[in-house]
Amino acid sequence: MLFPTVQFATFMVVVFLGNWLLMQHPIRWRWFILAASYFFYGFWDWRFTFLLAGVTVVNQFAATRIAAARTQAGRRFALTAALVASLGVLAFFKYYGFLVTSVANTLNSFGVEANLPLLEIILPVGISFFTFQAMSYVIDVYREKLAPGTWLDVAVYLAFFPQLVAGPIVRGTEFLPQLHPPRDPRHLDSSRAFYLIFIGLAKKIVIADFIASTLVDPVFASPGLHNGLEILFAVYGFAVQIYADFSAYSDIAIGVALILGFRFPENFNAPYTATSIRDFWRRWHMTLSRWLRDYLYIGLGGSRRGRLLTYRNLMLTMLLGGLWHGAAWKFVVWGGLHGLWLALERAVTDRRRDRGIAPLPSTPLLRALQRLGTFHLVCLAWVFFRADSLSTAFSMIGRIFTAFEMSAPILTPAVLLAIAVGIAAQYVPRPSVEQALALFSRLRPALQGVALAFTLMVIDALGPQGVAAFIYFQF
Amino acid sequence: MERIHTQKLIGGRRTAPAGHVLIIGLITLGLATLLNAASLLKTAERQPYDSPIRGLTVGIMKPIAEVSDFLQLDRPRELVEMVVGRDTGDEPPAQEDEPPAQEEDATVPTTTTTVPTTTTTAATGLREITAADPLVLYVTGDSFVEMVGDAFINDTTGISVVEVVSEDQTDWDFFRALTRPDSFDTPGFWQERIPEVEPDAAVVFYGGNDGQPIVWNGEYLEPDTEPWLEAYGVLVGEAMDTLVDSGVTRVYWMGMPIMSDNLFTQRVLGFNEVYAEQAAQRPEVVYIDVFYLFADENGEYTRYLRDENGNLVNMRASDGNHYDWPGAYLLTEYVLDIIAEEWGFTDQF
Repeated sequence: MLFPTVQFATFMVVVFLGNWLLMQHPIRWRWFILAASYFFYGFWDWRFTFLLAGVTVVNQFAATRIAAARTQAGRRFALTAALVASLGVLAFFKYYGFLVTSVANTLNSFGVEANLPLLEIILPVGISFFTFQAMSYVIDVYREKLAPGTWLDVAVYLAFFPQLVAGPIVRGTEFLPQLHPPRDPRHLDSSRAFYLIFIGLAKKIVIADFIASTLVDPVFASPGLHNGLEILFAVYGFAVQIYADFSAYSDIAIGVALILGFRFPENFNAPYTATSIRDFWRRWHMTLSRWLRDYLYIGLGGSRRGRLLTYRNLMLTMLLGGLWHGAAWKFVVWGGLHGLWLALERAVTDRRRDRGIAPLPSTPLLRALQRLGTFHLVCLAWVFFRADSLSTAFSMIGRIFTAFEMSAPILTPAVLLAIAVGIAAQYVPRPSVEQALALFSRLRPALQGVALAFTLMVIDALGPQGVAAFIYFQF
Repeated sequence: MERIHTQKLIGGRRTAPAGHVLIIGLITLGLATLLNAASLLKTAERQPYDSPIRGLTVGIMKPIAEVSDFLQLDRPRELVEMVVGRDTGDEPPAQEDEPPAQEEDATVPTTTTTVPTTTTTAATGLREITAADPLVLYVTGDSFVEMVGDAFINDTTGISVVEVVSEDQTDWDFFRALTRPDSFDTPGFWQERIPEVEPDAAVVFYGGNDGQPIVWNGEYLEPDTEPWLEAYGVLVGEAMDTLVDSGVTRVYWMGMPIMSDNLFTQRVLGFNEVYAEQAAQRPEVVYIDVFYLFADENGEYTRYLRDENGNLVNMRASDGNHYDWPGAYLLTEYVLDIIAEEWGFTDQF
């Protein structure tokens, strides 16, 4: 069930009513939300609800074993078993084909034709998200940051539909405590929730799908037919598209959760205003960045074991972060580029510190240059992320320089406007938004409804027919 | 008002009780439904006839669309679309309870159980193509054109005597089905589009969404039945005739590949028989069978095939049925070989 559909709107009305009517009955509320979440997930393919249930059972069993274990070895065994199970599920459903073909093709390059078993596996929607949430839960229990929840609470946590298929990756430490006190039905932060839902719909339908269908898809499909200027703007367009698409899902998820009384962590914070790659990763897919930092980078040793190992850890973390996005070498290259830049930034900072060079004074001009540079490094990596193959990515980058022309028929004023709005919107100061929301919240309910209805009409009228699936569903 | 003043503030925003939020939500959805009624009705009508919610949603949306029209609540949306210069191609809400029934052709072809094979009628009467006056190849159809259209464009960039036309989502779209002319009138679209493109040849992909009930003389025909296949044959024949009558010299009608799902595979075998049979009745139409092009050495479905270097490559999209890029290129190269043979430009590869 996609967010921007009539089905979801209908589903949401029912869930909203049930959510608040059952709020004073915690157990019934939990069963209701659990059933609603499984219905939501089963709408794609009901068979995968068993997978979700299986991941829940295995991880909750491991969490209770960790808590009950009397020895460190016992705790570690339960943790390892849970991680192997979660990673095993992920490896089987997401990486099996990639691994088998990679091995077979490597052997083939040595003249060995290996007939390895190839299975027809359908990738379950959102598997990367709920397995990562499950792993964070077990690890937090192991690290004693969190006591195991009840079976029902953990089932609700892992299946909670707003964030189930494309994040944000909410941790048990953030979600489970919110289950205990009943949410107060008299004080809903509804203006913020509506803002997030509607801005998400606008970003997805008006910006992302429009740029994709009119610029990005045609150029990336046939880069040989487009000149350097068109390719350059298609890359900018993709940068805006993927931000608008993914942050739209996060916005709607956070808004829907808020309307049900839950606060989710922020997932995007104007990423294209970043002044360095490190800054970018503090603003882009923030819940994944935190996950990678806390459970992988720090697990590898972080920055505690010397500089070379720090650079190695940064690179490994980003390589695996790249692979998390998809079973293809292009994602590994994308992650590798970010890892390389993070390591280089770190190395430069270390070197400057060694030499006692003071940080450059932060002037508006310097910040603008840093933003421009960071944005283009991020865009360079997006080429590999979006292109259908590595060779296409290299060819596109080459054509930007070798086939540059000052004419671009594909760049209509509407496309340029959409790209400009997508980037400029990140520079809108937050206080302005907050002031607008404060004003909106003071309107009478009927007026709010009318305003939102007209907004919805405009969004729908400006969008293409039908809604494309969110990009991050495939991850 | 007093009650509002007692509400809690979060970051300067007034909170609202759940009841108010429900009212806001219902007003939003209710009014938005009226404002977008024509578009929503069209979406509801596009659903397959046998979909359990089609009747319900059309039944709900039809009176709402009439109310919206009466109250002129559809005007703001029309204004927005006019301002942005958007032509949605939306038609006014259907007035009939059921979609218009098909006119049954006087000569309904009968289906046979012949195994589909590529029909390669000897090319006669094809004009000479040159770089100055290239073969205009029009790629059109349903979602199976996605990637394939671009693969045709990319594969012919170095061929001076061929020019491919396949504009994204203009000449193909995800929801098109020959069995649903009420949703998208393919022959009608071609009658307008072909004179604009003036193609010499067309490569046509249909079948992805065609497995839906057909309304035939007011009767619902279920897919995979003999009457349905007969009616489908008429629709396919009409589509072929539309292209030929519009001036297309050669029509390459694509068969469907083997599918990941056994039931779908059985269904497309039936489709392919219809295509082969209809093509055989028309000298201008070539049926191209690609069913086993995407099968393994045992004739079974496989997602992976070996490329010219012996590497295993994923041919199909994540749904297991549509083509991924390598599959699109495999198909395109296969079809271009046939076309090149007919039009005499094999030396350009």
